[in-house]
Amino acid sequence: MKYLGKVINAPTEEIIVIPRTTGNITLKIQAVLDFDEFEALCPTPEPPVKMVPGGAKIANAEAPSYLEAIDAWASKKSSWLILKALQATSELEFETVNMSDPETFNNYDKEFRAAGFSSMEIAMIVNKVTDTCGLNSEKVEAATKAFLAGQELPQDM
Amino acid sequence: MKLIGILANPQIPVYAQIDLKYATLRLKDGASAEIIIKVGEGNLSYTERRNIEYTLDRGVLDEVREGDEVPVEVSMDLVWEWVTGGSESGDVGTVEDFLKKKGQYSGNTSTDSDACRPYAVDIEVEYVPDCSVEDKEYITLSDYRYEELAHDLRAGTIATSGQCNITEATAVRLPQST
Repeated sequence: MKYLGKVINAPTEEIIVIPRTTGNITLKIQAVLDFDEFEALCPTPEPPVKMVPGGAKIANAEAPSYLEAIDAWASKKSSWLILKALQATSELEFETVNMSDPETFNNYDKEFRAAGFSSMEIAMIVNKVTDTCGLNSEKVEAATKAFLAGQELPQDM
Repeated sequence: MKLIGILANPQIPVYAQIDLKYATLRLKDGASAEIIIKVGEGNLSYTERRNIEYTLDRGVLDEVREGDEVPVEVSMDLVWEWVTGGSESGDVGTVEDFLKKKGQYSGNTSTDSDACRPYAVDIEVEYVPDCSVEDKEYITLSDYRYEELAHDLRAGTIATSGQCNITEATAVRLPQST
């Protein structure tokens, strides 16, 4: 695919720098394009089936066990997204996270805290990931508005 | 000389009836299989009995002792709203199959530790009253074997009666907040 004659073949990358007196920590974040890899490792939980009078079987999406499973799955998915985006920082290593074991995905938060990252710093990293991955609709909207404003300029001049 | 004789062999029943409108019923096997029944309306009753033997001393009431044990009698008659398997991915079969260890539940394990005895299941009633200040209650009737069973899948009704190989039901009450 080309845009303005240039080939676009790389996902968005952004940088966040966490200041430290011992040396700033520079994290490179790359947009995650899809969740295929995560889905292969950790498929979306299926709701159990319930039978209603007459014998028809329908999905029981209100089952407590299913709601718990969905919560846990969503948490792992968010963690995987953050870890995957941070893989662009080759210097960063998590000791207790194994990218092929979904049960370890949520450990990234503990490791950040153990490394002295504050809750606000972790939140900033997470926000940067969501922004980079295009999950922040406000940012897209702002960019669109800025573009449209730019388009209007020549007409006003 | 002391004359001792059996005066009587009365059965003293303890009778309980539960309105199942706010209840969820679970039938469990001896392993991990279960079937959850959301009850629309109906009743479950169980009767605990014990034989008390009174003995006389020269015509005067004297000793009292407990006689032979009596199994708990269970009877339920209900209309269910839905039935589910209880597992995350499990499909669900019928209540009739669960009680009979047939079809999808042919691999069920009896709750009775003696495998030579007829297949039995546990009945667990989770009763959450409509009023939140009242405690919720879990009643377990272990080792139930049906003796009569009428199940209409189309109408969503179950009527069954039978006995449990226990002398007393287990009841646990907890605040609704737990």
